[in-house]
Amino acid sequence: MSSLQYYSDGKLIRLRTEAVDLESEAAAAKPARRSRSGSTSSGPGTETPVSHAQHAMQAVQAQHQRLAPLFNDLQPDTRLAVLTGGAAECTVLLTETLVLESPNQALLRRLSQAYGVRVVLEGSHGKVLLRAPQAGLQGVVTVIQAARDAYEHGDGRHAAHPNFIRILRQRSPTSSGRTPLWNHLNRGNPGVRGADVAAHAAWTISQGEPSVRVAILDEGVDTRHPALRAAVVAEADFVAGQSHARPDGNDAHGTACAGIVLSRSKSWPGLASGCSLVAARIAKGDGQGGWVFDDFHTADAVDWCWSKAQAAVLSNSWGGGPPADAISNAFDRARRQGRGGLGAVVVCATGNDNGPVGFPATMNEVLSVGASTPWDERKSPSTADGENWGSNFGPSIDLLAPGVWIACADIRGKAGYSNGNYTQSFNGTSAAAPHAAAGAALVLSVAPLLGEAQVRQVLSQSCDKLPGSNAWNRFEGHGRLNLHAALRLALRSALRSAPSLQAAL
Amino acid sequence: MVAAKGSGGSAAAGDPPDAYYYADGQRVLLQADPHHAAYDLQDSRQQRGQAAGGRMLNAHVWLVALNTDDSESSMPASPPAQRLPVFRSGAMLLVALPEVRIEDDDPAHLLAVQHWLAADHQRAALLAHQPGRMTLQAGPALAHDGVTLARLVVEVCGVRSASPRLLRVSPKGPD
Repeated sequence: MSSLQYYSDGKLIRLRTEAVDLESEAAAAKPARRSRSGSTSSGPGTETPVSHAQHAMQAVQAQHQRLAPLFNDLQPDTRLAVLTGGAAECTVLLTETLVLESPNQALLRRLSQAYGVRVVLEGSHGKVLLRAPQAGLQGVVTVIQAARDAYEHGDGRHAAHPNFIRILRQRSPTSSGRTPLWNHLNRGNPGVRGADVAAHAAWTISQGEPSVRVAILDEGVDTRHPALRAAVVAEADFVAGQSHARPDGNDAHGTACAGIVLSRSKSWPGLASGCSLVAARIAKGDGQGGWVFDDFHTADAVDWCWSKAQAAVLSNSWGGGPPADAISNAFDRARRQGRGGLGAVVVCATGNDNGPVGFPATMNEVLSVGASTPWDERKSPSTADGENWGSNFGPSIDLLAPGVWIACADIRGKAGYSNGNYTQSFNGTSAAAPHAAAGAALVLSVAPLLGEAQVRQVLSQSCDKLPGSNAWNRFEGHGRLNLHAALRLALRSALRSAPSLQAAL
Repeated sequence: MVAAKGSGGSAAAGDPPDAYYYADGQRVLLQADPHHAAYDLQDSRQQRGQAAGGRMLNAHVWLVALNTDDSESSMPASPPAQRLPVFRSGAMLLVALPEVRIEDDDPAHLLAVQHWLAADHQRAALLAHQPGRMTLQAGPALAHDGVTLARLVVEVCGVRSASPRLLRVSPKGPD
């Protein structure tokens, strides 16, 4: 199969193939479902392994009528199936067609004479589709050779490759069996195994200490929620001056954020459920799909959180608009004067516009957090989850944390994101930031003498790099949060900074 | 945006200044939003705000969408209602209240502010004064414009930090 190579981005790509007689596979997969090893189904109710190639072929057959106009001569006959990706989530069917980008007449003549391929379709921006004269396997081999020839005799800047039909396994939000708390421990549905914050492993070290207070600055927190009320140690309303921080009407955002960090529900636990909750109401819904914030109130709330309420971590799932010194100065005071001078950790969401990071996450010395998906990608409008938003990016970003389909607390009753007390679909960098806030709280639970900058450093340095990345970049920061790695690093950091303890050990 | 009036950094009549203030020492330019108006109303006028399809931003301030073919709101801003500047930053609307918070550890700068205020009591009123911090309210000489006041105390008095009080009206996130 050495001939099954083509060029992409200047590199030869070798197709990892199985020469599969798809017609036979598909036939075998029909009523008597035969496994690839040849064993037959043992009876009703028994799952028979069926290759993804078989699924793909069945899909081709099922959709032939719909696909035929698109691919003209697509026939469910013998083809080569190429299984790609570890989980074989994509089957590539080779065809008798190839794609060229901006070919000149000389190249087209050369290919026609050497391989008999002819232009059958002109696409936009100079793309053309050519077809081999032969059908089936011979045609497939012809176009692969022609594509390589075209690339090697072209200018190296324009595409020349076989035209694939890609059949993707659906990764829809409704896929059955989805694990609600994938962000804690991802077993591969949804997404990929290990694309989580390693919460279960982290909890073998700590679930948080009550002395560590986490402030949720948001549109209020349902501080009477059964999963949260025991965690509440302070609350204040900077919007209406009430004696509590509970939200109005349908304002559920802050309760969800608090739940991600501090829920004490056994079924829907927060990531730092042993820590304590400070609720600061700084916004309210305007009844028309918006929030209203007052800069002065926000700045006062920040000061109250680190000073009077003694919060060690300030979680901010809000932002955007121009910067304001009143707010920046309050955050600076939190970082410098909080925790008796060790500094409170300020965590800010980057925003959901798929654009530049928004204030206050633009500040240099806050932990700026974007969103990752169950597939361990930076969330963008085109990621597999199908949610139409993207995590903001830029030079200030520190790390990513899960921000899609997050299960967490919801305001009680029918209002909020669900009819009950919990939701399974909280989204956004608003969901990601509390993950990092919980990380900071756990780190301070095991290493309370670390300075706020050290906490940020621990969380950043212990991130898992996303696939294809080996260093900080402006889209993903240092990678995806890993709480277990952070706690281990925090313990080592604490040991290093406490020589007497080190000597005793 | 209403033009600033009075001396000490104000623009000439008919030549409205750019709307900007300072954050972290940098100019922050503001873009006026022609599609909305905001009013500081008394409670008795709230029903009129609702009738005009307004959004209540706090106990006194209403935000109203303007008719596309009319530069004025359907809700007249007769006294004691006060029209407030509205700006847009991306999808966010910003309503500038007339207040400004000054933060500066240098007493000389705060003293300079006091002298500047004393030179013309119509510029602003001192609402609060703590060590390192002052809160001012823009007066009639500045058309009650907090953004202009914030700009002027930086440019004229040299204070380190002066923030206009902005109400931010932001679309909610993905959820």
